[in-house]
Amino acid sequence: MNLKNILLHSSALAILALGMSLVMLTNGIDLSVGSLVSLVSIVTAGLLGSKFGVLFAIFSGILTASFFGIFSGIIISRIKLPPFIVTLGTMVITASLALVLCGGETLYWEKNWFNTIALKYFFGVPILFCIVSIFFILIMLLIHYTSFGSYIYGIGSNEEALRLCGVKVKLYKTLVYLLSGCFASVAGIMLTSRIASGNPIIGMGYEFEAIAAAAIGGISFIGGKGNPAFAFLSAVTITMLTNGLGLMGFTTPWQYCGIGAILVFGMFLNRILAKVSLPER
Amino acid sequence: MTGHILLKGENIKKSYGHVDALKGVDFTLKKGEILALVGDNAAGKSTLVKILSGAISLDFGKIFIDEKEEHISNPAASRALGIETVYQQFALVDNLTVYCNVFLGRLINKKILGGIPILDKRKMQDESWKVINLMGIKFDSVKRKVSDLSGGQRQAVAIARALLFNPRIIILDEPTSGLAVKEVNKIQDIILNFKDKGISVIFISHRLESIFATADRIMVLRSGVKVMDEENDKITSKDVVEKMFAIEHKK
Repeated sequence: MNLKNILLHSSALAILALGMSLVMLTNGIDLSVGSLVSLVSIVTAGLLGSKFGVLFAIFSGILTASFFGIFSGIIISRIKLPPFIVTLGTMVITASLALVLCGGETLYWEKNWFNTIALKYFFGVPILFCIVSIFFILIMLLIHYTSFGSYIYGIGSNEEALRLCGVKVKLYKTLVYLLSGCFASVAGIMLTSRIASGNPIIGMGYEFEAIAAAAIGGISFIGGKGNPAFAFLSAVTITMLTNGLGLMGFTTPWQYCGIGAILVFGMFLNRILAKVSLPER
Repeated sequence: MTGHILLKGENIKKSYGHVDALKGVDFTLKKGEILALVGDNAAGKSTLVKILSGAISLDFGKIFIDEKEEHISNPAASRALGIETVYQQFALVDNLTVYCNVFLGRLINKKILGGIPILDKRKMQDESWKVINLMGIKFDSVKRKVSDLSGGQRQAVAIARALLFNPRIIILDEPTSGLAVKEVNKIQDIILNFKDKGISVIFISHRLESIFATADRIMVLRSGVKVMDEENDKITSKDVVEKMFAIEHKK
């Protein structure tokens, strides 16, 4: 029963970790994913209460996050501002927008199938985790079997080499931030469905957890190294940890302490393993 | 054997802010000719190479290929004209495999399930093997990451990339720097082999012995100005050094 709970609760973080992995592989970072989750939650919940229907609300949520993903990507790739600064700005903008749009209050809508879909199971596996698993498979295929995947690793390793070879580096970088935004929207929609309401601070802290999951999963902060599959597994592990700490009676701040400690320990372990696996020269 | 003039530059100028990197350089390159580009640091060699490879744009001047004026606005345009460049820093991606590096910027895709493009790894591996074997440098696998290769092997990968699409002109920026003597000799053989195939070569190097062993003609740049352009057999390394460093004879 608790395993199902862990899978259900890890879904949002797992998909955010996938997006963050792609961004970090290009030597970037996306601090805006948490606030994008909140904004998407408010946009989707707000529109669910309108006459346009569930699919329109979902589509609008995805479009909103995609817009901010492209916004960050274009500024990072074209104007060449540091990803940390750009996505920090996007984070503040979208977090503020989320609060402005709902007036700081939680949004509800008339009950429909969207309220319950997140709590359904498919052969015992939460529907949300099934959806995330589909994204996981698609990302694995993208990374290992397409030019896009090779160029993501290439950008993180030697961006100039790709540029000199005629690769459209700016386009690929923008696409990566777009994907990260899209994944944040999926996480936002899933969380909105799960809690059956739109919450302007629901995504708070998710950017930290996603970065931690990617880093613990072996994605290098300097880009070009790592496998998003491990970031995905790491996201599930982090959820297990917080879940376990919760069951032991630790409150959310203590759970964050736990994640922080795991992050530092995980990075330390990565460094040790990297040294051990270095070939003799 | 060299033929007609394949590449011609007229009055090429390039500045970086207040610094004039090239001050109106003229040059020619014949079909099948090996032209050595020599000069001290900041002579303008790399700037000229970057202009020809499309990495940067010229400020003034004209470039002709087969007597037709061409505008090389980006690396893809340069490649489309049959110009391939092997850069000084190899321009390789350490975290990618040999075959991915060989095909960098031109990865081969195949369609599956009615049109979804995926990498044709087998084809790229086979093609990479063929090109690398032509150069005679030992490789155990093209699936290895470039970070695991020796200096000579890395240079071979960079040259293989240039060779893959039947270039008309290959530009080699310091291809022998940092290599062992045996590897230097191998690279020189490869350059001479280009000539046999009718490929024109622009070859930048600080190693005068490599230059005199391979080049048909030597062009010396100093502070963005062409100060010498002579046939290899009409000059000595002493002449080249004097022009490179503006050494005057005491009479």
